[in-house]
Amino acid sequence: MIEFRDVWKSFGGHPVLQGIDLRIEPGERFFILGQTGVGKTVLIRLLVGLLRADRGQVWVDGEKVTAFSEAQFMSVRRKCGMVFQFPTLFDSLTVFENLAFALRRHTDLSEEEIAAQVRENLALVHLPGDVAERMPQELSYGMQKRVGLARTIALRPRILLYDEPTTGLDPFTAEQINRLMLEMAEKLSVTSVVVSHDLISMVRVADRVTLLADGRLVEVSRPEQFLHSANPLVRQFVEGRAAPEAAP
Amino acid sequence: MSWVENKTLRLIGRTLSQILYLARLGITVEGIGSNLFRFLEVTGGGMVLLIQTLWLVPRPPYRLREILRQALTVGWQSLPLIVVVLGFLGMITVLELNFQLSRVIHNLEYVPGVAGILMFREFGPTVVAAMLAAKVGAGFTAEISSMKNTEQIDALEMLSVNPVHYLVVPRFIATLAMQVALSVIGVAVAFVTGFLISQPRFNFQSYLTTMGHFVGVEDFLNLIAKALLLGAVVPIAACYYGFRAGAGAKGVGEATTRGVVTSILVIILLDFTINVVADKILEVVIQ
Amino acid sequence: MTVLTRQVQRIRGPIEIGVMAFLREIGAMAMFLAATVRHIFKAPFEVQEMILQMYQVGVRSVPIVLISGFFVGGVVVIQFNYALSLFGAEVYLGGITTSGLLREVGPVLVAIMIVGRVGAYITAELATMKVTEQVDAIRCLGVNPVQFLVVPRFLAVSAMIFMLTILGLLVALLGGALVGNLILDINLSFYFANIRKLTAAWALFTGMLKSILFGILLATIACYQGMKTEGGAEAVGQAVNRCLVHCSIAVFLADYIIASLAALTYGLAEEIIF
Repeated sequence: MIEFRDVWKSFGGHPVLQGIDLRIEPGERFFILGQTGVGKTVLIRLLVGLLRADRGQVWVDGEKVTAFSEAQFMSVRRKCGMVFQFPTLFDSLTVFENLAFALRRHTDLSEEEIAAQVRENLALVHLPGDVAERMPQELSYGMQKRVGLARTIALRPRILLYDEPTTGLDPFTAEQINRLMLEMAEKLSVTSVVVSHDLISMVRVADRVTLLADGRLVEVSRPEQFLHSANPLVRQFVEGRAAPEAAP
Repeated sequence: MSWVENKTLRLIGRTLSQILYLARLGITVEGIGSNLFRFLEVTGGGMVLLIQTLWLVPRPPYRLREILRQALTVGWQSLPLIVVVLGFLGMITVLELNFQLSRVIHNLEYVPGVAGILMFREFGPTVVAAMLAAKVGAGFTAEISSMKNTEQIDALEMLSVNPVHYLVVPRFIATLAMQVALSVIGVAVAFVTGFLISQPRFNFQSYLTTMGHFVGVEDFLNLIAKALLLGAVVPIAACYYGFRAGAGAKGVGEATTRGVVTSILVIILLDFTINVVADKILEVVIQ
Repeated sequence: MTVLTRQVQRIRGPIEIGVMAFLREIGAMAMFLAATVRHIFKAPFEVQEMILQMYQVGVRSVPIVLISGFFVGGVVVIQFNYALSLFGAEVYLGGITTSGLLREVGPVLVAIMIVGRVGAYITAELATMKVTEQVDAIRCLGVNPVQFLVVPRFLAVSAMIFMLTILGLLVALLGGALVGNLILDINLSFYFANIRKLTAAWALFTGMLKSILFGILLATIACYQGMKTEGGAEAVGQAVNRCLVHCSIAVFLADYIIASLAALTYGLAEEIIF
């Protein structure tokens, strides 16, 4: 379904990804863990063409997207929904307009059908219908994040990419998001790829998990195996210890 | 075809409702009230900051090094802009006066004189001030607003350092000094380019002499005085909006825009006031 | 000698880099403009977004253009009155002020005001959307950001700057006449009688030509600077700053080119007539 084959990427001479090989199966809830700034987000941005790999191949749904043009990526992006770290709602549009944005541009639905779809999507993220007429900045941060998720699922993507979904949230809101991620995977039968450093969220949601460190994937395992892995890099991450060379 | 199905009408309706949302503050009674209130708040706040700054200027610590650093940054950063803009302005003024004077006094010999008068008395100081608002003012606002966003201003206050004294006073003095210096440089550049474009008609000697007939010491003093008064606008407005900036990228962007608009508006208004006052004084002196 | 050469080389490096960066910037901006123009003719057309932007940059800038236009007119009439009084030629004040305002001072000074209001607004808005990943979100929803964001803004800003400049010019003329009458005690009928003698339709045409050109230039620069912003909140401020500087230079450069073209045609006309 999603495959990385020996993917390299560097920024301004600084290597971030150094030979990534990864296969994510359909319907999986896959977590990519790693410290902040290690290049996890880069990995999912390569999938939808927001960034391009220096070397290697990226495959989505049996298509090699590495050489795609911006126009060709449009079809990939309709298959892959991206949930950004920050809500990224269009702040000049109402919640309704935000949710109808993609529907108006990619479907031939009538206004009534669009309105019904918007209501349905709001219900999927457990928001009441009257939120639709408000402006994004009038909502709480957690609600904004949920509207962002509702906007992403509007075109019913088959893959959902979450960029740090629970970072900076209080435990209560984070748990709401965790539950939503599970519900989305079940109700819409999507493949979920989650980039995060939140171990609690990983344990709640993940089927399989990997750790990105020093530009490589350290190990791919089940959550409970991951937590008890003997790999020193995994141990450092799980126990929150600094890397040996960075220690004072 | 029913009304509801019509997509165009839907679109118009949606757009109108959105505009009404954006304008709703402007058109209601309390909206007008709150706009007026904001106007007064900004004017008052700006005046308070100006008075605070003027009060703190003669007070220690003097931090000459910081003032010098700011002055060099301000001057060095905006010098290319001032040279380019005033260079074009000098040529534009001469071209325009060639056209206008040829029609009313049928004599192009006086063009350098009139160009000199206009540059010294009006366009030199105002255009330099407007350019500083764009180049330096926007920079100040961006700098201070991102300091505010990263809580550096709060950190200053926790160290019981007055942020106005620490941040505004050096910028204020530096901008004032640089405004004067850059106005003089700018007028000089405009003089050179104006001379170059009226090339076949004048040699350097005659250009200078004609200008000397018209431009006197009082015009030079006018330039300095205007530069000092208009120069105070930019750092105060820029820093004021920097301190008031909202959170995040949006806040910084809005603060920068507001700072520049306010600066240029106040420059135009202040310039007008100076001109009216100067004109009245001139009248009294003549009588 | 070697010291001198070394000094020259030391200065040459940064200058060369500066010139290359400048040329690259101009090239990138031209490419950006070409891409924008290409997308203007592609469906779907974002009518709603364009109307909203026309409201945001156009209608909301009206008060500030009215105020600054009026006082620019007042400033110019006071200065021209002084300059003309040196020749005892005050009788021409109305004509010269009107013509000068229409052809030169009005478009430029109003343009500076609009650069601050509209250019900075557009850059700040686009830069904010860029750094808060809203532009990426648009791309992820399968919509082309140039088509959705840039084209409507480009068209709205070009059209609105043209109209705002015309508005500013009219108010400046009014300001010139009123200030002339109230402060300088100049008879209004006297002032207006002169205008028809000294202001040709050509002056109005020059002013309008300039405002169209300013509109396209400012729209391009403002959208370009906004869309190429990278980084955090501070980058937004820097983008606005760069937009203002580039716009100011563009205004004066374009103004100079048109003024010298006008001078050329004027000279030609003179030769033909006399």
